[in-house]
Amino acid sequence: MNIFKKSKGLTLILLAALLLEVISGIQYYYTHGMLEEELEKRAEAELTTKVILTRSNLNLAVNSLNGHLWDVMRNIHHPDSLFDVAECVLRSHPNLLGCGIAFEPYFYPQKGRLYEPYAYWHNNDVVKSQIAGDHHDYTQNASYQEAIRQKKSVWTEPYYYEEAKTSMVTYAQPLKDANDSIIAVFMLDLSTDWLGDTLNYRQLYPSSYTLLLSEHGNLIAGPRATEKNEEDIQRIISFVNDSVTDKLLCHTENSRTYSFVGSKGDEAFVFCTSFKNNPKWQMVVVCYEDEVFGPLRDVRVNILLMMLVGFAIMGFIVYRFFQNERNLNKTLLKQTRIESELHIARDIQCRMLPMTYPPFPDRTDVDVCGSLVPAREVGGDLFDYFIRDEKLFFCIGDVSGKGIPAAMLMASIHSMFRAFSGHDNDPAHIMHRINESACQGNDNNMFVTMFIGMLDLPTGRLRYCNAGHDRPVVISRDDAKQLEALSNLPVGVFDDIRFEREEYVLPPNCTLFLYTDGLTEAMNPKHEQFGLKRLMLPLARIGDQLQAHQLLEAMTQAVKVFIGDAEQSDDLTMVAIHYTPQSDEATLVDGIELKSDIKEVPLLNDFVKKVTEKIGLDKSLSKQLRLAIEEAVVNVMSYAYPPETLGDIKIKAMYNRRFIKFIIIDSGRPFDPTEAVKADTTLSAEDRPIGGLGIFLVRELMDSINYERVDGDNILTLRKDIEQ
Amino acid sequence: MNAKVEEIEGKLIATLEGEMDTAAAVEAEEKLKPLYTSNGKDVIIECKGLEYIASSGLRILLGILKGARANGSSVTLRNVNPDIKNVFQLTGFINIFNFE
Repeated sequence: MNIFKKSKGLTLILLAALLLEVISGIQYYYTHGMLEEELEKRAEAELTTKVILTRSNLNLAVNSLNGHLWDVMRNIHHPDSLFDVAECVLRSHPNLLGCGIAFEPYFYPQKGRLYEPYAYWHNNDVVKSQIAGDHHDYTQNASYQEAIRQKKSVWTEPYYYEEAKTSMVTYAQPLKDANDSIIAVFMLDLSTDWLGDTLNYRQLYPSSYTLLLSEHGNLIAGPRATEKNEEDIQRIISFVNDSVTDKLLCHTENSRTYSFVGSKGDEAFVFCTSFKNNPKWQMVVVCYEDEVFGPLRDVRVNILLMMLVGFAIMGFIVYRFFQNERNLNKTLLKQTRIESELHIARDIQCRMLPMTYPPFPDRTDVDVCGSLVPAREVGGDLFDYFIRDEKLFFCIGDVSGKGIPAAMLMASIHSMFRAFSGHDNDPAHIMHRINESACQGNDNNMFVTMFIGMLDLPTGRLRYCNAGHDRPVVISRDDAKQLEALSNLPVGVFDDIRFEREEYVLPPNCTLFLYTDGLTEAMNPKHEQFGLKRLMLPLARIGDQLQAHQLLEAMTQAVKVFIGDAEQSDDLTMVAIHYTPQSDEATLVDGIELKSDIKEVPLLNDFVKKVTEKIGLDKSLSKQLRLAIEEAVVNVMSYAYPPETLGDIKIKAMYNRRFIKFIIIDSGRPFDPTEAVKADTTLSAEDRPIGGLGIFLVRELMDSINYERVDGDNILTLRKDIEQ
Repeated sequence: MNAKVEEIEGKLIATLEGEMDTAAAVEAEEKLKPLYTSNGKDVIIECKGLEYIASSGLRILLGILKGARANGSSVTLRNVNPDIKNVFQLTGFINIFNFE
């Protein structure tokens, strides 16, 4: 039953099928009735026709006989010539079996008691013979006796005549003399076979047959006996003769219709009519029901089959239709789900970007703002910025293509940027590593244009690497020009290209403006692009007067006004970095120069102790400083110079109200302790590596560490904020 | 700084006094060698007089701990002052050593 619940279509089809079945049943019923009526009419007509036919056949014979009556009377005194008369009758009626005149006993004394001149057909010729004799005493025959008795012409009951080896009926007409007394009986013998054949020559239905019954209900003529009808015929005869009317279906003026069940259980219609005049015979037509209604039943079965097939096809079509509907719905649902997931993806994507403003509220030397106005589809633009060790790391990128693949690549590049720049201070190297990763497994041939920069906040030195991206604009007082940069290839194209690092020193109070091509390629309804010129003009005019977020708002507005009603085709991504270094006036407290030998560590510690005492820092803080400085310097001692070489290490202590700074300078190989990976302090004893603690402690104990390589020197600046 | 190792009642007692900066740690490492191979004896490090420790010193302590653990013996630090405890805290050493 569940299938019905699930599929309304199938239920509908089945109901329709049922309805059609009912209608078809009603139709069948009526057609059946009509056929029966039709049959009765036809049967009636058949009966009438056959009666007429038989009658005419009989009449022909009788008329022939009557026509030769005077012939007989004329030749009455010539008994031998009577053979010719009989012959004459026969010849004019090939269908008669025989013809004869049976005289009253001793009518012709010379002929003896019995005299019957007789002619009959034999082997297609007429044979004349006097058949009366001791073996054939016609006076004993029913035909003779009846004619004599009734004193008029009679048709006899059917009988079997041994000599002729056939059944026959006889027409016996008494001949009278002038005195009206019977002298002879003129007889015609009719073959019942012939009668039967004539009657059964054409039938209403193949198995139908016609029976001719005598006045006394004996079978005169019928169809050739076959296996099928023999038993039935006997039963029908007794059935009809019973004249019990409970099987009577219909009784009209001329005929009666009975329903009859045959020996094999097959039903039949039995139509009877009686001859009105002598002989009072009965004509019976039998039609078997399965023949009458057979075609109807066949039609019905065929229609049923066709209906079933039709319904099966319909059912199939409906099923497929509903299945299509369901699939369509599923697809629609899937699409809606995909769209909503795209939406969510878009959201997540945007959330990954640094959106809080201001991002570094405690800082006075830099202000950064980024914005991404997404296009309708999920895109692949990204930007990021963060500060580590007094350096501002930032990037902006544009993934080729749209949709989920672009978004996913964007997300992965974003996280790579964060991961790699956590301990790598070379933008070109970061770019190289990102490129390596992006080229692996990049089946979609997607690429990313990118710009990575690292701004050393104390010095304004910008180190950067460009990979096919639009060059940022440096905005200073009344001037906006693009940063000189190599274009290189985008990331994700070839895994063996070299990226070059470039440098530029940002002047104080300038703004670095980064953007993606969503900006310059924004189109208005006239299919004009926003373009670089339209970008540079407002930047030059007002760029340096605005704060970072104001600048972005202004530019966003400018683009929106430009594109008007046209749809935004690409993400609108911008980053503004406003660099306002403060001159941190700090006084030099003291300085010391050491050799890169561990043995000099106590000297270092004394130095730090002296400095902290001079400033007046508390003991705890002093101890911390000592530890931090020691670790940092020991690091330099261990790695800056080649082993067995002693190099110089200069340490300066600077301080003001807000902080104390220690600057460690050596001229050894380039070594950036800030690039070291952070130690994991959660590991168990067994898993802790022996090394890696030094720089970790420096970071933990100091508030900021900053490394720069300047003119062959490593400059490490450690700063601790103090409240005074 | 001073470092000495004694065996008392089947335990190895190490006493550290003074400031264990990187240079001092290099020297003390020699003296503390027996502690690396404690051979199942528990180790107690007396830190009452320890005023300062750098990462090299921490490294030595870690080495002693690893060795002792391998033998199934324990390492206990006694009377560690707050400043040094703070360093242990920063480095996560506070979770891997026993303190008294």
